[in-house]
Amino acid sequence: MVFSVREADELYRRALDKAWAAIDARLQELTASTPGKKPKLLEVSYDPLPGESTIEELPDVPKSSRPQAVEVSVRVIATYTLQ
Amino acid sequence: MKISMMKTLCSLAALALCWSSPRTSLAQQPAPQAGARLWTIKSVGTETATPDVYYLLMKMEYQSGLAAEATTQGEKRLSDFLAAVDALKIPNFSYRICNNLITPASDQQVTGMVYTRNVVFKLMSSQAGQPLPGRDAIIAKLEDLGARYNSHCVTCIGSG
Repeated sequence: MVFSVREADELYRRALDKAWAAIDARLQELTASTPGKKPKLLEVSYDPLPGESTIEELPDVPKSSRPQAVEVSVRVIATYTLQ
Repeated sequence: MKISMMKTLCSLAALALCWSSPRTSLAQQPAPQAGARLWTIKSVGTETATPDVYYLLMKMEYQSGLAAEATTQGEKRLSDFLAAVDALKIPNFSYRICNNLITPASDQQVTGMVYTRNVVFKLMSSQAGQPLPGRDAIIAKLEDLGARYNSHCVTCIGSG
């Protein structure tokens, strides 16, 4: 996957925003079930190489020569402690 | 008796160390308070965009009874093919040639060698972030030309 750096950064940032929005939503659900407790962010891990993808193996079926879209995904793992 | 007591004391000391070590390491980290719980939340965010750059891989093969002939003729055909590609005068277009492989022919009825080279085409939109105008027609021309020169397997190997 080849991007211009600016384009890759922008796509990565938007994907990251979506990941955090999903985490925040889940966190709100969890805190609602434990009134009086406050979550504190303990640790966060991201994909090691933002905006880059790794081809692990060549596909069995050739990919289309006319791709309609490119996709950037980012995985976020956040660990909270409840105080 | 004394030895037995010494062993017992050593065991107790070791046990005390086992107990104290985790407390020491926890104190250096944000230690969970009594009754605290840990929540680990995983999430994947995905974003898509219309590609404005395409990398296409085209494989060119030439088969002959002799490896030397397969190589010579394969190179000539590749050269003719690339001359025809140049004649298309596609804007914002470039290519590079990579790999040269000589392998035994896999066709059961023909013995000989196959000379293979890969060509990587790069197509770019003139405006960053905008789709390439006339993309399908350009790629169709390349595929058609490739078929005439015994090239096939046009595959998109990257876009962005």
